[in-house]
Amino acid sequence: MTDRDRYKETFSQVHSRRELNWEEFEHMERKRKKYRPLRLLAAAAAVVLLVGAPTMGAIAANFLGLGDLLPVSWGIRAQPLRGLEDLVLPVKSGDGEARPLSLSGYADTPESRALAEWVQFQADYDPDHTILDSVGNTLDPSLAQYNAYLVYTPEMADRLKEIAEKYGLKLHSASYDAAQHPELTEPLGNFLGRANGQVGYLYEDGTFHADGWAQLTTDDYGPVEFQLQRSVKGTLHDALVYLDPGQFTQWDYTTQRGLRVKLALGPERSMILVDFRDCFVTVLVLGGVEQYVDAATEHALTSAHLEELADQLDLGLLSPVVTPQPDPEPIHTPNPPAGERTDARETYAALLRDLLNSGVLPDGTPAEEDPDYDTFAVWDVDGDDREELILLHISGITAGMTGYVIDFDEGYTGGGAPIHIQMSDYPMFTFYSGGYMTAGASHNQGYAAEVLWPYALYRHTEGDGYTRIATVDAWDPDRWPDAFGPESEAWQVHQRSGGAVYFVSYTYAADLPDDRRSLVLDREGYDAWLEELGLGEAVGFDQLPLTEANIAAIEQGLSFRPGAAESLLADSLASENLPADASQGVTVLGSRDLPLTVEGGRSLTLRVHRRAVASGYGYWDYGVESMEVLENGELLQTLNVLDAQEASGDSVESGWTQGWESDYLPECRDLNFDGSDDIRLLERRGVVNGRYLHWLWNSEKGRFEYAFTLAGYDFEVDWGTKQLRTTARGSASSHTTEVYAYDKNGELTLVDTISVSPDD
Amino acid sequence: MDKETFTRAVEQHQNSIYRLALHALGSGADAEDVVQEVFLRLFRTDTAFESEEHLRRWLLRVGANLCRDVLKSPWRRRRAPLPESLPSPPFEREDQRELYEAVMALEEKYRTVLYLFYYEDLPVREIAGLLGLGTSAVTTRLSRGRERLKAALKEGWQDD
Repeated sequence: MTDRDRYKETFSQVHSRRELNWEEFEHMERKRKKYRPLRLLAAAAAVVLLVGAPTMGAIAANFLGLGDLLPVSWGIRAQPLRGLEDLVLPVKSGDGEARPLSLSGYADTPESRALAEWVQFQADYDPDHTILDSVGNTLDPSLAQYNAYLVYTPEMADRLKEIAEKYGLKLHSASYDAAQHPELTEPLGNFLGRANGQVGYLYEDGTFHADGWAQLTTDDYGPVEFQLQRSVKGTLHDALVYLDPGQFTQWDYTTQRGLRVKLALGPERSMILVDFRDCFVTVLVLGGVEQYVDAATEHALTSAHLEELADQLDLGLLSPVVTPQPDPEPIHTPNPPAGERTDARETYAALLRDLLNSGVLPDGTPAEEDPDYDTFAVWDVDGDDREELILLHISGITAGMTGYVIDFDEGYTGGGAPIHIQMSDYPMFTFYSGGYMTAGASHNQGYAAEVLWPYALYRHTEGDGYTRIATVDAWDPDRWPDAFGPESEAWQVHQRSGGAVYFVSYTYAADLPDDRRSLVLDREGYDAWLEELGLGEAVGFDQLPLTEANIAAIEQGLSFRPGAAESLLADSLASENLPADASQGVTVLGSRDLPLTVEGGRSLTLRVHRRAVASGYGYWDYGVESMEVLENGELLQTLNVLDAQEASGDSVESGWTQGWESDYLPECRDLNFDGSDDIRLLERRGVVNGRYLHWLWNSEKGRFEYAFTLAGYDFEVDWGTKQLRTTARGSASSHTTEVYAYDKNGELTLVDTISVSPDD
Repeated sequence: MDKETFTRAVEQHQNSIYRLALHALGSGADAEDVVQEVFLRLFRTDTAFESEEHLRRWLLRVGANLCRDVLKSPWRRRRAPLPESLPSPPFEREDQRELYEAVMALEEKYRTVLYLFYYEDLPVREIAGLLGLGTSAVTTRLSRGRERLKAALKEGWQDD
């Protein structure tokens, strides 16, 4: 048997236990969409009149001389409607009967002919995705303008432009998230009629995509979902769907609003088509005569259902196309309005609410994810005697994470928020007292390995904020011996020092001669470089979760406290340091260092990451999330509460402990009689009893290991008998003491139980 | 994405994505989360898959990227998973358990490459593309991973 066979045989026995099914995802998606409702506001009256009622619309259009803008499919100007077969793009497609159907118009239109060429080019250019694989996730910035198309090389961009030019078409130049730009959907009017839904995104020419659902009453059918696409003519739009036109029954239909449409009823999908003079509209219905994909109903779709859906929609509103005009400053909705703000904290609070409630980041861009994990602080990081807002948008995937340092611009009188974004970068920030800060890179994908996490260095300049002056990376020759050849400077530095090599690359913001812009240093040289910079001490401070309660707290004057960097000197979470009148939910994060001694007198530090949450009744609830074990400042290991909760089989698994200020910090004491400190941490406090997590020091492995959980209100370590005793109160005021001892394998074992009740 | 295609993809590829994520993350719970996220993205995608192989590669790529994001996230780097977070399947033979434990005891960078090479039968060039690495890096990891397995398993790994 080969290694490969053995490997497959072994790992084929490893299975996922997660249940995945279509209905669950449908349910999740509905919930997700619910959180992003779109207000489809009533359109401007003139537009509604034009296309909202057929007779009046036609009269008004002719009267106004706008007849050419009327839809081709408008009832009174009816001409034969073409069906799905005329949407088929003349390109090679895969196996099966499904054909690529254009959603941009009939196949002989410039839009669809261009689309066919583009689709064919893509298929021929990179048939097995070799080029795409080699490009990976790295997008050439010069190609960002083509993000409406699958363009990942300059050659593809050139070809796309050629095709568009050949057919006299434009390319999409901008797209907008409709949820962030309600002003762009207002001109559409209530085109969904009696159905529901939301526009997902719009392009600069008015092309858009919407997801919707309608409640069909015919035969009590129930809900049906659909995807609506408006492709504005004159632009190359890359949208198609694979269907087999031969399987569809098609007919022309005039809706109750007088709009002539083509209806197509297929086995699993159905379509509604409308060809306007300035746009082409398709409604892809997620249902057909054989199958309906929503688990809520198993009905088959009929022609009557499709006609009812066409009647419910008001597709006539989609033409003429009104070119979207995004607000020039769609970024902020100042609260209070600009000009009335004089206070930095109010401005910061407004910015934070923009993110929390509207998903808008301080630079005006939409946040990709809800800011569930975002944190912020208000702190004078640059030493200019003014507080800055430090916002860490750390929700979602790595690529979407951004941190900001924002300064209040007191003299600003223009539109928008009176702020100055001093810097933004990947949110792994460290601030230094010498006027510098660093931002860790999002990925350590070079050759640094464990030597160093690559980072960008910023220097603060009065008036300009933080300027990126250098990036720093490293090479770990032990891990990557072949990364640099003998002719390279890195190799030579490594040969001289025998150790890791550090790379400092200055930006042009640093006023240096070219020959000093790139430094290749050994460890000694790197330390000397840091020393010469004068970074100063790292500055730590509390970082609060982004919640309304915490935002309100900064408006009310909540004082931020020094955090980890200074927590050895003061307990930032001590109740006397927290505002007594904080409203419910206000959360303050911090860390606390505790001493540990293990075998041989070895001194360790237990850094406890904790929080205080205001109850709203004048006291605070305390909790611990994780503990780091450090030796001489170096991290040895991290103990996570969640991991221990999972290991203990606790169904709560909140990831946080719960306790009072008096008892939430861990006890560091010897629990297994080996002379080394162990860790006992209150996990949950009940009315009387508490539940405790225990980590024991493993001297062989040189680390703490989660060991067991005990419950009770009293705990005793008996050195004489080498036993642990824990006493808990049961029901009816009975008290039970459990006695534990370690067996020969070091496992904690229950050796006795002593119960006392009022009857005894 | 229609229901039939989606359901078939789950049946055929869910375990592959789970094994990939387990190799990358070393935690059963994290791997299950990645499985969920990968198939959510499949549910949402408009990608027209040309073949089963195209779909499989797409899923592996999305899975690898998600694992990379998890590994590099500030939250993850603060966590040191406990050994208990590694699932213990009931293997048919003891040598299979030994191989499983030896593989999972390796550093992540060796595990993932080994999995893609030995289990998914992907060539080095394709693994490099999936993981955003150079082919020489993949080759190095592969050979070091094999060395370590050989050292750990002795006769249980032929290094063929």
